[in-house]
Amino acid sequence: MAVFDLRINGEQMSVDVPPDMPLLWALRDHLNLTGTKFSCGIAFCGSCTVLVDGEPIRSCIATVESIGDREVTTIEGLSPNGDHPLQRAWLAEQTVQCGYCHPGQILQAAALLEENPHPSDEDIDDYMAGNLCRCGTYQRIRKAIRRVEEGRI
Amino acid sequence: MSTKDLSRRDFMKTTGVAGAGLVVGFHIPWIQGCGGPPPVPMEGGAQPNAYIRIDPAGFIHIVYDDHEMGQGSSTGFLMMACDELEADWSKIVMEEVPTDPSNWHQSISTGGSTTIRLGWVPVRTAAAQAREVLREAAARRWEVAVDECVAKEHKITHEPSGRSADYGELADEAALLSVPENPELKSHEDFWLIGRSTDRLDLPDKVTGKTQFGMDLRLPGMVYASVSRPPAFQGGIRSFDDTAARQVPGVLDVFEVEGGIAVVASDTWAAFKGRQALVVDWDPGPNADQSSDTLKARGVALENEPGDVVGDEVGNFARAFAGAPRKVEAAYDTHFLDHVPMEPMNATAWVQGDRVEVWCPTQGATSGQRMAARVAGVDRENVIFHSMLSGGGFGRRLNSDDTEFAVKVAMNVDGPVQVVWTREDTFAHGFYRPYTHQTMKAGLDAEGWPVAWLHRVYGMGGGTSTGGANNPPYEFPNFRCDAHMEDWGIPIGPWRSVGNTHTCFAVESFMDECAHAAGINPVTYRRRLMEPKDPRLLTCLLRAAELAEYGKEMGDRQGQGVAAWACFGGYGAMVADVTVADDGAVSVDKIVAVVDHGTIVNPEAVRSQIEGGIVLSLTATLKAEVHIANGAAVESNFHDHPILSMGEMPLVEVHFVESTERPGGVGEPPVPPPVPAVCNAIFAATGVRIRELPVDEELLRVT
Repeated sequence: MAVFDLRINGEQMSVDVPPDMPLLWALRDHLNLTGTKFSCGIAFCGSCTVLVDGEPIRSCIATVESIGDREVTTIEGLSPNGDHPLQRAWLAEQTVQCGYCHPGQILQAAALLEENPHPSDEDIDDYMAGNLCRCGTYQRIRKAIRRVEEGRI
Repeated sequence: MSTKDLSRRDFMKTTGVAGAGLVVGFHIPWIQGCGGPPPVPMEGGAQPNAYIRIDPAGFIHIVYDDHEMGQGSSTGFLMMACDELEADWSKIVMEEVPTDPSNWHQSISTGGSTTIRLGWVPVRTAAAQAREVLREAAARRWEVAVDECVAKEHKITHEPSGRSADYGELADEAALLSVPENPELKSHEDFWLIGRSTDRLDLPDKVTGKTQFGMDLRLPGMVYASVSRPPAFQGGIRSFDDTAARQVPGVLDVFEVEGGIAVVASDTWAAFKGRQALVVDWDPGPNADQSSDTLKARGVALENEPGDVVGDEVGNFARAFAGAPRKVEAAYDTHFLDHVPMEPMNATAWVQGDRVEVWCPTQGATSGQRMAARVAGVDRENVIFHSMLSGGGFGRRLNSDDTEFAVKVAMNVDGPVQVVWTREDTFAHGFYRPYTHQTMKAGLDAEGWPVAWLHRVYGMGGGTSTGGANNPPYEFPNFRCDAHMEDWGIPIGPWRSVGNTHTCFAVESFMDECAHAAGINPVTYRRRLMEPKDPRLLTCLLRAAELAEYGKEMGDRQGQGVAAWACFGGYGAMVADVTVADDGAVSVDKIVAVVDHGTIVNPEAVRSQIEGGIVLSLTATLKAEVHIANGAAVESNFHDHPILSMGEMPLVEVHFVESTERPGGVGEPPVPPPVPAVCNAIFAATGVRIRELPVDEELLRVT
């Protein structure tokens, strides 16, 4: 066990965990940030996506030790009032069904638009390919991203 | 007073008590399956299992027992009440599923696409009853004629004098009156909310991470556990060594429970790591030689053996088939399907003496409560059962094995414990859509029309395998559906649309094969056979063909396929456009769906269900199923069981047939048609007939 000081959603938080613990479990079980979801545990589905210095990572395999002093953003911290343009667009398109994968989807989309404010359909498909949704909301995710990209929100 | 803690008996007591407001109880019946028998009230007759309560502050609380797992029906259910009651949508409050299912007048279970279609008349009747007593209460207060009192916008207005009173103000007075037994229901043209796309109430918290799914529950003092279970379905534990597991930091305890070895730890990660460190000698059980190949061989061996007749035979298949000038035969294989909800199975339990508390994301609270009581050896009413939101269900969460293992572990733990299944656990211990081998035979007359039709299903679990096969949407002069059911000891269960996923694949693929054998356009062919049997489905079929421009010119290795199916009270026809690459990769470019679900309560939510049903179906068609080897499931996670991803999502167009019929089911009907529509399109593009799922790209490769 070791104490790690993490910067999460603009706050300083510390956890006393083994260095090889994936960030996912430090967030969920030690810091009560349960918006980040466990689904596959092998970085194949994207449900656990968080941003580290703005880059999307799969927190189910990224260890606490690997984070260092970089800034972690989880769904709880994407916007203070939960009204990030993507969150509003997600509601406008009634995108969500069960909702389990969507914290990861939204964070992945936020990183996409940060990196590439005007993605083509192909860019969107490529960037979002690792975020799986069993309810099948892809068409609405695409529309919601497009809405933000075009400033219609 | 919060409605969520009210039991049925409490409700009875509060009715007519000043200050409690107006309570109207009603009964929602339950039917099982597709086109099943008419609604039958359960034990206790038509006693209430749902309530509308109007509190003195004017909020309208709706208690009913269906589970929201993303299908959106909870919002639709409330919309029906709001419209009929002429209430303010912002004052409608959904209450939690009751926490003591033993004190509830019906089994609490969500499945069969039933929330809206079974609630349609009862909830509107109860809302109309509430509306009528509010009008009467106002009329009495003002000493005017009831006919002059109008319910609108959450208040009763006496039009001649202009007086008005809010529903909350009148609730206590209305509670003293008796409700009319058969109030007049609004007609379609007067609906202002039903039929208008309305934002789902569960969505805002789902985009901010606030929604608490089952696995997100955090209780003071809670610990976590992982259970290692025998890989083979009929397997067991010979012995195990937990020395290394106990040395993993955070591991608190290791012990055997019936059917597994539990590792309890201070967090989920430590529980997983401890569990990986277990050294176990598994007993492979009696079915160690079992595989998908042995299952298929059994199905093939029985192709020509008459099975047990399912449903009604028409005419004499054997004689008509023998005398037919042309015969078409084909067999179709589908493998097991896991539901793969994104939230792996989990439950949290706390056993304190003879009192048990369970928190579980489940479609079946009554079954969960029963399971907890049985495992803990306590009375059902000693189990408090919290139904948590589910990260996907699709039928998987109708089983209570999540609760079963949570309680088994909790009985050995001092305090609450959350038992988390890994994705691998969830794949290995599913209740799968069964494997089927379906033999189809048709005798065609001289012009190519089928005069004899046989559908023979080899599978397991009765209707879970055969559902839909005995009632195709076509009329045949000689028809027989029969089945060979065998128990392979592999757990099976309802998977969204149940038997229809695979029986529709066989029927609609084979129909295409017969049309091609007859040299007749597949839509024309279906039309003649469907017309006398299912006019609603025919309307969908013809419109889908028209909107998709079925038969249009397409490029090299491109094709269109059509399929139509009706189940769970919903009707749908779909046309798929596909492109097959030279390496055999199939791209589904577009699906046009024309659906008839009767009255549509919340159009955008219905559209979303149809889009999602198509995606689920395309994964089963193109990506993955679950195979068996050594008596165990082969696929274990998304690396060997991929599911459809964003770039593979076709453009989906959903068109509604306008209807004032009562609502039909929505969740399940869109799942069956895409399978044969895509396979028929692949045939159109390549000339290769797909008879086993998922599609084998090797068959489609240009050599």
